[in-house]
Amino acid sequence: MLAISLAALAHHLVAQLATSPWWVPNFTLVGLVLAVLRRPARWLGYSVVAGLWDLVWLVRSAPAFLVTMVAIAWLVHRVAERWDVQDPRVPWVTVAVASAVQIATQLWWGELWSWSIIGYASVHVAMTTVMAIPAQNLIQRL
Amino acid sequence: MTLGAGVWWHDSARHLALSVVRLPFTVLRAAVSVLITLPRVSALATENSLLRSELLQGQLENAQLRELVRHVQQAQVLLEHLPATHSVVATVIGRSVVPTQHTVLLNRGTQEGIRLDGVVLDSSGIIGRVVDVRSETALVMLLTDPESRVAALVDRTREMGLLAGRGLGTCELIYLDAGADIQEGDRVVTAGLGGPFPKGLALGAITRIVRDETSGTASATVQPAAQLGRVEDVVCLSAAN
Repeated sequence: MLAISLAALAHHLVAQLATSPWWVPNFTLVGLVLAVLRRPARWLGYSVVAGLWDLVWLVRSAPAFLVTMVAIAWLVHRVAERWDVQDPRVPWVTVAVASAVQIATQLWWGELWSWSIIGYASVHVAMTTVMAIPAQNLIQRL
Repeated sequence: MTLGAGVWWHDSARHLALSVVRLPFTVLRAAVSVLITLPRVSALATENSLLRSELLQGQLENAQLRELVRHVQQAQVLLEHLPATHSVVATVIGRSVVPTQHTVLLNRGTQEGIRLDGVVLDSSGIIGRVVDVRSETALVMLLTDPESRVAALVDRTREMGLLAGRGLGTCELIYLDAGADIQEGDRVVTAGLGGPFPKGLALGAITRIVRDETSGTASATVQPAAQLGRVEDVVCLSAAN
């Protein structure tokens, strides 16, 4: 829970410095995925906490956003049950897929499909995935 | 023959004599004048050209001043018709972390008089409107949010359109005719047609135009006047109770 809260806090702090939320890696999602991989049994609680942190900014589709976070946490917990989470590739692949799924669902709700948006979303997913590596080291120390 | 007997012809004779005598002096004076003026012809031409430029510049300034007077008169009319507004100064204390929803959080709420749908602007122009307000905070949806819609018009030509957020840091002026008289650099302002936005507030400037002759429509990319990614201190307007 501490890891998710710290990740969400970092997410909010970086967002204040960025000119657009597209250029802010989704630290909250990274914290959620890594926390669930570490303790799969607590996936529901972790997903609700992570979702509530981001709900502050939402002006529409809040329930759908929360459901997506819960669904992503459930999928990660299934991954943790079947795969070897000690493999260093598992965390960042899981973060990449989770980030892509979350952004794709947001674009789908908002009907925002365009090549420009897809380009921005790809950069956002890549930035989020890159953040998984140092975040994993940090969470292991907590 | 007395002196008085010659008066009736004396003036005529004197007049005639002076006319004859005056002639060479007139010609001589004219010749001297030409001799003096001739070397100055070049300088006179230059001076004439400068005076023409100054006249043209003065005419342009005059036209600008007339336009300024027109704007001031229009603004006075607008002020007379603008509903009484209550303004609150606030600071942005948070920005959205969700890429598909562009919002900012203000440190003022209902306690300070901020109301739902209040218009929020900074020194450069409009940034958005209040979509959620609590006692001490208010959430503002920015112009670039994909759900943002503002009735707008091009200031120069009064072409009407709808400014829609595109979620990428820019907006798009849509529902224009393909032959709309718009060009890059044109200033876009609020049209004041329904909604919370008063007329005449700065929205942005046109940066690109796309015309579709097939459908008979056009659209223009608009760069918001306010630096939405760097906004800090804002003013919230709401209709006075």
